[in-house]
Amino acid sequence: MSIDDDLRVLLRSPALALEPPSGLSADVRRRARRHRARTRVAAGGTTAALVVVGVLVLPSVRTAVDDLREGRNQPAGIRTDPRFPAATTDVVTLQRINGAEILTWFEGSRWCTVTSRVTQKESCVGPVDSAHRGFSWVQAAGSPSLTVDDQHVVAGIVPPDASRVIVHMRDGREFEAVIATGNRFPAPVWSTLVDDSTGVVSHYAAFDRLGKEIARRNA
Amino acid sequence: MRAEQDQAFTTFVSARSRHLLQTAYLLTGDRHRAEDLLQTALTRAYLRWDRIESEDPEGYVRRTLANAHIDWWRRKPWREESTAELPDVPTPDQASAYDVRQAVLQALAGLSRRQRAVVVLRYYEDLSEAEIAGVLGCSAGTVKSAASRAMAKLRTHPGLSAQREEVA
Repeated sequence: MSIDDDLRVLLRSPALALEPPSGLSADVRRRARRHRARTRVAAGGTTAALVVVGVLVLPSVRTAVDDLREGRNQPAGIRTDPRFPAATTDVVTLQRINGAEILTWFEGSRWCTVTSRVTQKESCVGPVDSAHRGFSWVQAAGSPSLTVDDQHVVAGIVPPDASRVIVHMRDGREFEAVIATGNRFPAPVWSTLVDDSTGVVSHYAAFDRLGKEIARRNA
Repeated sequence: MRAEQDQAFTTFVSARSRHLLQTAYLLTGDRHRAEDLLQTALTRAYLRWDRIESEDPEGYVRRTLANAHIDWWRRKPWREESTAELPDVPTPDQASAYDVRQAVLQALAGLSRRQRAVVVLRYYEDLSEAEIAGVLGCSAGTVKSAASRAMAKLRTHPGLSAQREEVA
């Protein structure tokens, strides 16, 4: 049989069948009622909220926008990027793929990544603890914030004392990561483009300056 | 909602929820997320039931499942953290079913969100490329390219290959 036929059989296997929770219809009705109630409350409060915004909030919003334009709230020495006003660090390019950039920065202790091509795929994770031993945060292959044209980048926070990071594939291939850092980064960030069209990532390994493996994490 | 519409919705859920839950399970790879995703999709369907009942309620729920799954992925970054193991645990009398489940879910886990949705809609829901493009709101070319990349990965997945031999 072809893989098409095999897939049809396997995806429809009873091994993958689940029994729906009892009372599903009732749960859905309850959830719908809550949704309607919230919508009514929101609609009723909209007019009042608009008045409050006009009278109280608008002046502070204007001040905040002015601050943003002038960079008054940014820590000294940070290269501001108007696309990411909450950034508390430099915005650094991790990779360039087909004319698009994969960018990274921190918002306090949260680590953020995004592709310049599709900005709504911005992703922030955290908190990042620079003292965490071993691999802490990793954005896996296929993460929307690290994918351009179906080409996958893997990225993560560099473990303390590590000077190299290697991504190992299950078929034995290895991809050496580049390490990037920026002004006020709490920890450097590693990243690499992986060709996972013919295999999947097995694990990540970090090495110190002497070449000794000091951290490992399964994908 | 009128009583007869309410009854029609209940009948629809009773008849189709098992099938739709399996779709959600194949999309998410996790039972609890699948149940949550299905409940979200059914809630949206319930709120629009008067408009979708006469058209294609199952198509509406299917479309919501696929797109809500992709949207969840975008909105909830903690879902992007890698996981080493699938959550299900085997028991001796279910070893074969466990093998199938592990092989299929691990193979699907190696695909991108869009590739996974394309595979599930194509091979579980039996939709054409044009229908999948309509569900996902993209071009047929994008579907074709995603399917081709997905199949290249699935063809070489060792666990899936072993299960394919069993099937054959």
